[in-house]
Amino acid sequence: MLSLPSPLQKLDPARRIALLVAGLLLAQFFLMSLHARARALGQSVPRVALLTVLQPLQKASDAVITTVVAAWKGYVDLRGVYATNQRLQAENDRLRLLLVEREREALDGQRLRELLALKQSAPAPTVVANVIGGDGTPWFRQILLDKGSLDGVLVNAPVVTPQGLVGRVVAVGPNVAVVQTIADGQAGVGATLAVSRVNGELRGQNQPLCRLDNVSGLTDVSEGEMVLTSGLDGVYPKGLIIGMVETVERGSGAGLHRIQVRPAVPLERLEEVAVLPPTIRVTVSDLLRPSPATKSPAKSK
Amino acid sequence: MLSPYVMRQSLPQRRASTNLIVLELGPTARVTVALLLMVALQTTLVRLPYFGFVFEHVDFILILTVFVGVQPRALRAALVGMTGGLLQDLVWGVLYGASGFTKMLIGYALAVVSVKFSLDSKVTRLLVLPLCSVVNTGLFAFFLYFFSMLPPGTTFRDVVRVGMFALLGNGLAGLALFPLGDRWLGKWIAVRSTDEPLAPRAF
Repeated sequence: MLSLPSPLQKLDPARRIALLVAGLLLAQFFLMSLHARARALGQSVPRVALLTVLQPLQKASDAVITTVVAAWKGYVDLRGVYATNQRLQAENDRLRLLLVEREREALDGQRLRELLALKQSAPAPTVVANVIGGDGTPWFRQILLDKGSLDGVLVNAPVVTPQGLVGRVVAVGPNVAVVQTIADGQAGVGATLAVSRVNGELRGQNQPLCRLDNVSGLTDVSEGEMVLTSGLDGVYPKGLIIGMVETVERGSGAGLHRIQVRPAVPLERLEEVAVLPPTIRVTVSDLLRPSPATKSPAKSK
Repeated sequence: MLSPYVMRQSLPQRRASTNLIVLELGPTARVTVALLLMVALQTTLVRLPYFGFVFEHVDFILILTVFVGVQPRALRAALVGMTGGLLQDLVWGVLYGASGFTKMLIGYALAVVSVKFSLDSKVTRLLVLPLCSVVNTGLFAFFLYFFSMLPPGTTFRDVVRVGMFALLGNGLAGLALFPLGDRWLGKWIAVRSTDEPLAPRAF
């Protein structure tokens, strides 16, 4: 059995415990300093290990909650089912038409890429995941998914739903992933106003609405205008739907607008999301670089 | 007066019954299970429709820390607070050590105070919990501010608002959870009057 150093042995138990607690508090303060300096938002071995261990528990409790909620909605809350059904059928028809158009555009894009002989790294497949938890605190807005690196989820991968952008993966374990939503106070997204095509920076506020910064007061912005990803942040692909302008406090000529944006995705009621591959890096093939001068067939003879 | 040895022997020991699978866990295992369960619940209850936002302002780990801390066992309370807080920090992934620090301090302080003043009555601990909740929120916000990790645009008014909601949320949750804690952990956590209040053993 280990024996304490003699100075500590002379102390009574209460003082020894006080010293131990003080030492542990100091150690945790140093841990905070180290972590704040490292500024690593999410990926760390202890965090991934804990989330991996917790994932079955979270999945089980989420299954219980989902079952109870489904029972409530299925057998008790029958009001408006017919109207919702009609609305969804109309939306489905509209989306089918849009899908046909998008498929045509995708084919055009594929053909152009082949023509330019762009080389792409093999993209990881899109992963569909269930949301099994949130962060449970008013300071942050993160969600937990039940898929991880074993399923092809990568750090910094954009996360979307059919309605629009959710956020990005900040930490991933073998069977779990942490997503920082766009509503998180520390989240930022490069954004573009759909009509005016002006770029700005979308910031989360830990609230239902986000803030669109750095939009000049000279820009014409209207409420209801759609906000899309600009692709300039290098994380989110261009053209994803972020949300719609909710309110605009118009700035003067020299000032900036104060714009509030409502996310298109209901971030408090997420069930399933799609994790896209991280933004693909594209390299231009050698064919497009200036080639060294070649001998003409006549001169070579 | 019974000796401490006899009193410890009188506590139910860990055993498995072949008739009905009943595994009586020791206090360490029970507290560990409770901590993991609290962390899992904290992340899943927020997803309840219509009511999920309420659980953003309920800190289950803090409630467990106060439950353990009102007994005059300083090291145990400090370790429960530190472990639970560090688990929370790992789940949030923003400032490792912040929650561990605050909850360890709260657990230790409560246990030290409970030596002089009896805090483990049903009414007193319900009054202590909101106070600890405010301290926890204030300290945590202070550390976020100190290390520049506070969400941009957060004002002092926002911190006060969060603190008030936490006071209310934790107080109401304590009403439901403390009786559950008494059933699951009560006889393992309660300190006998003959034991030294600040004995060096954790459990």
